[in-house]
Amino acid sequence: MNDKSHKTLPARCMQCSAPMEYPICCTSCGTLIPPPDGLDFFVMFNLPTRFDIDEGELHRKYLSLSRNIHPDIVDKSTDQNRRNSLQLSSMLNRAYETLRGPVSRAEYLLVLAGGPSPRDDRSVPGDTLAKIMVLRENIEVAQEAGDQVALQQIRREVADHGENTLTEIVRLARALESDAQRDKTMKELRRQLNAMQYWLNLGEQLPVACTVGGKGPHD
Amino acid sequence: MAYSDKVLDHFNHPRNIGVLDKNDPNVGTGVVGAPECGDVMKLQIKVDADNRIVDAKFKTFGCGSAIASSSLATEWIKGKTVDQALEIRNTDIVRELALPPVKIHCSVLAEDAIRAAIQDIKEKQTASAEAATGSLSES
Repeated sequence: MNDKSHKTLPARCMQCSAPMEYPICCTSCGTLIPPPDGLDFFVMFNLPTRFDIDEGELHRKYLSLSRNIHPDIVDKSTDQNRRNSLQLSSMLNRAYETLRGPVSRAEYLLVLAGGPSPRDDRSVPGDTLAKIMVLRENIEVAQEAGDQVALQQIRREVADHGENTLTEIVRLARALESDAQRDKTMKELRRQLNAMQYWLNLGEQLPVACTVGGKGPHD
Repeated sequence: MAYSDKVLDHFNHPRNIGVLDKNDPNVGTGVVGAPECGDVMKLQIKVDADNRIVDAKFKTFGCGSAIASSSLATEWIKGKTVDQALEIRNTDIVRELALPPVKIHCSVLAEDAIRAAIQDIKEKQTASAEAATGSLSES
């Protein structure tokens, strides 16, 4: 685990002595606590640092924290409080965005585990790149021909690849919790996350089809 | 972000866009990508009996800098032997195209593509040499 991450919560608020629910603010008296560098996002929400989290709970906690630290709400009579509020709000939003989606959550867990970044390791499983290349070429051909049927099929194919990759990401991110073959798991997770980036990119860049029934690219 | 004139020139008039037959024993194919941006680059080389690169083609799906880097790469490797082509460094591409720091990975991609294509042709040559020895020993 990253030695800069802070795993412990202060037990009681320094101002009002109420038990602390979150490490960045006291929900009783509204005292804001400047975040330590590299505060673990899971700890920020007082959630266990692991892949499987209750997304509903995350959302509720995000709203509850927002209500306590939002710059429009906090007491702005001191510069210190204003600064803390701004800093904490931006941190909270970043943490929420990171944890709410399975892909970014797995990516974050890999960072916490000290795994490779996409810069360290750009590899992807097997023939992923060749598949991407062929699909890109097919998209070009279908677009030039205005072939909506082919584009629809490509879109489905890209979505299938993305789903299969996500299944692997979830499996590997869960496996990170065990110490068994940790290096191997991290390397494989890096590869699948790299592949996911290609599928997501490809999905976003696929032209939206003019289909009947208002089906958009996210259907 | 402003592109340099050289990047724009390669982007607007890419050299050597196209495809070579990947099943040709004298053609090496390299496909590489950058997961951060989703760019993919295919670079192919055709070599003669002296391992000199007689033709090179590329196809890149990515930003202007990635297209310019691969276009320049194919221009540079044509006429070189594979060993000479391996000496090309991404920093040479950065310098030539005046790429800004955020686009350095595009030049890395082009260098990786050259290496991947050369590795492919070397593997093909080894395989066909082994097949030749194999068929000799069988007969």
